Amino acid sequence: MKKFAFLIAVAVCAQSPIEAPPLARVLDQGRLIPIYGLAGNFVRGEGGAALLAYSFDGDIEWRLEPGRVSANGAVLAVTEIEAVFRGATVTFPRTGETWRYDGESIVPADAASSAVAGRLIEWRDGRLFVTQPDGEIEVIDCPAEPSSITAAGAGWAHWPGHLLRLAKGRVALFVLPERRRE
Amino acid sequence: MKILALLAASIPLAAQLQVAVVRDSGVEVAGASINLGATGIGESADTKIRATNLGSTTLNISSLAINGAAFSLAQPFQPFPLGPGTAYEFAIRFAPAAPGSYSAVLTVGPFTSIVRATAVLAADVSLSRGGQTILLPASGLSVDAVTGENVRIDLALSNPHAAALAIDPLTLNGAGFRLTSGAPGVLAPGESSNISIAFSTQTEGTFAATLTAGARRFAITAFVTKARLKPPRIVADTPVVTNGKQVKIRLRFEEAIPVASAGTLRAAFAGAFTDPAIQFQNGAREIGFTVAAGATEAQFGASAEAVLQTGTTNGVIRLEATTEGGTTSETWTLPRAPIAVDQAEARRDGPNLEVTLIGYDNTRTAGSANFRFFDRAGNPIGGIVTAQFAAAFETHFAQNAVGGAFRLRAVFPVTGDATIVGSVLVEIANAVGRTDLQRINFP
Repeated sequence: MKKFAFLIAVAVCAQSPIEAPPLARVLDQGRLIPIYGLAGNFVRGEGGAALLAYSFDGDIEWRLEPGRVSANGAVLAVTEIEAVFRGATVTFPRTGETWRYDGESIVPADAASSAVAGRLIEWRDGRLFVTQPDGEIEVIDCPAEPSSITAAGAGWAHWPGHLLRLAKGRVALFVLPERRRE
Repeated sequence: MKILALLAASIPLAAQLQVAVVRDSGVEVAGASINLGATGIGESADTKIRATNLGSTTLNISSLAINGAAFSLAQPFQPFPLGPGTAYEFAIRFAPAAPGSYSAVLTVGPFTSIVRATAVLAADVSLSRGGQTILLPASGLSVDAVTGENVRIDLALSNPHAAALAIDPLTLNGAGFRLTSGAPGVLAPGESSNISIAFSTQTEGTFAATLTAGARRFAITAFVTKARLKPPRIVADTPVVTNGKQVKIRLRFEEAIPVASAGTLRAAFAGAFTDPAIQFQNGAREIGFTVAAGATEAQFGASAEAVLQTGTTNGVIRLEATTEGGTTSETWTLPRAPIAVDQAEARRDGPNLEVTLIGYDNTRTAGSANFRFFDRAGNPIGGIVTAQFAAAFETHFAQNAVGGAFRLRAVFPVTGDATIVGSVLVEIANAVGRTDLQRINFP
């Protein structure tokens, strides 16, 4: 039986089909900042929520706020002020406890994930080794060891002053300009 | 009052005038004779003399002279009145051409004294530079320096005479000067000895030192001006600068900088539109730099590189590196270009197909896009679907301050089985030309 597909011209959307490219979201001096633009041409958006820690890998958005940690809206009451987000897991350095977001709620976990935005990232001898989901390893120069890498969007990782593009075959390290001074 | 006047009038003129020799070691009142000590032949030694009126009436000094071979006044003399309690200083010069003992008569108004001096063999002083030796005049050596500069002066002391020559003592006196190598000793005829002198100061002005090498006294003068850093050369990490890049910039100086300095690197953009993406790593279009003493490259904080985003708008970026010594500039022209697409994705969303493009239009004239769909075997499905985005682009560029960057999301409702669609070709155009993208596959 033959299958047919008839394409209708571009749908009329409620929202404009053209918008500023939302590239990443990073925590800067305790404020959540959206980053727009293109790789290497970043423009900061307006500062948003005040958070203690943040991570967004394109699928899961982790937020640590005073008294609670949340993942895609699922909330766990905590008293922590530091958290390490890796994939679907969060580890609290103070207690060493690890929790996991199972798609609905945050539950205790035996082990933490190692992935940042779906990749393993390792720094050795001035270079970053990025292991893609298919196992391929890409290597780029990175003279200074990153302080604390977090996921900042689908295919993006962040640490202070830098954004790391993780897309397969296009791994690249960029400088993230500081907040514009008036 | 009358009594005082009588007393003053009773002092003889010779007693009313005190003449003294002013030496580094102190002031010595002159008597019937003055001994200037030994001076190296070929040298010109000035000795300061101070004449003071100890009386209460003015003295008219109508004569001031020194008569004797190899002696002279350092400055010409003109008669002058010397008021009560005031002093007048002048210098006598001894410049012997041959060894031996010399004498002269010094006359200062009513005062006279015999001046004695000895001329002895002394070392020649030469400047060593770049493997060459240049004989210096007896008048001394002058050097120009800037504040903070570490000046090194290499000299050679040589014995041009037939007899052995002592270069003992070997000393250097003068603020900011230091003898860094060399030792006192004896030079055989024709022999020479190297010495090194270091000079450094943080203050502008004139600095004098005297090198004493046996009988030779040699004047060294440093004229110090404030260091002014010459503007550097602007070096980018790419020969051709285009939009959509982070360009790494280094500032290089022709030679090592003698003293720590600072400056500013500015990026001015001239284009038809503003572009907030054009900025350095500090989030501004101006970034300061420092240069450490001895360095040939500028530092931007902890980094040797400034990173400049070139934005997504056509125009001209003018870089200016400014130091106290001036400004150098570099101009990058970012030409109008077809739309650049950084990322293209296709996906299914229920009965719809969705194509997303992320890129930039540096002319902000984007208009239409053509989409052509293919089945999984690569056969075209239907005709070309043309979508007009001109108004949407115009609204976006007017409302969103992201330069020429955009994300375009085109949604295509499908009637029938959307799963047979395997890929899509996209063409998108602006006023400069058309951009053809590689075939985008649906997962």
